[in-house]
Amino acid sequence: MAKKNESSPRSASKPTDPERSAPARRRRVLGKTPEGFEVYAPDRPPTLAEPREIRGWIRRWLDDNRRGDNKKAAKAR
Amino acid sequence: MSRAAAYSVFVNCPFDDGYRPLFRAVVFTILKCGFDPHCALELEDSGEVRIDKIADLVRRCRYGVHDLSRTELNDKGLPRFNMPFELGLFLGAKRFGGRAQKSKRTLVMDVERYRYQSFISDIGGQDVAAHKGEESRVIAAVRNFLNAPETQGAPAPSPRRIKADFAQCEDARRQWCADEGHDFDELPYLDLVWFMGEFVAALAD
Repeated sequence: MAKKNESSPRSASKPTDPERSAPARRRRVLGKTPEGFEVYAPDRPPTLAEPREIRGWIRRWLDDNRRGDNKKAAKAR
Repeated sequence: MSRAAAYSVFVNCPFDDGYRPLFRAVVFTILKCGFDPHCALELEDSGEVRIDKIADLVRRCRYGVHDLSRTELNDKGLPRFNMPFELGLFLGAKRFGGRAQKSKRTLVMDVERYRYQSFISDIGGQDVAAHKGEESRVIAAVRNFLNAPETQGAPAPSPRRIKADFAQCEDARRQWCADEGHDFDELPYLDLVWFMGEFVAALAD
């Protein structure tokens, strides 16, 4: 069933109150839980301009940590 | 995506400097247990009325973690009412909402177990977890709350394991913040959740 206001020409041409319609950062909905809660795609932080290889950085950090290199580096600092 | 990851958790906890380490422990525990944390801090950039934003967040989350430990008076001699108010909103949604809202689950924490009776006796009968301001107790309370049979195939990691991983995550984040020019203590909420989420994923790889 189509949702109200969805692709309706009338609602599209309606002037909107900027106070009421402002931002509301919408997240991508992946689906719903059995109880009916919406499931959202993971958020990307708005303060980071482009994707970074953070997972790789963390893996390297964990490896260094296992070898004790991070403690040595911290001491050196 | 695990079944648990489908569920959002509303974090209704203090945001002040003194509570910050505990707040980060709550967020990390939620991620480590495979859930998706949400709180009012993620709404700062929106132009909507604040109560509408919070109500929408409450509506979207099946689980609620509420910490009532900040009842002290501020420098104007007034207490903070936001946390008890948002707890009330959450319990109201559960009571009067539809099928999904009625399935909501709530964790209420305070410094001491029965202290709440002196300032919010209406929630009497609710099982309140006492954390005494200790990180280990906060982690255990949130972990045990989310270790629910209806969402978890296998038990969540032990509180001790979560605490050790959290300590590592904070060390890594300290270095990453220094490298990237972020303030460790002032890292915006979404960046914090993103980093912690990636750290949890890297540990699981």
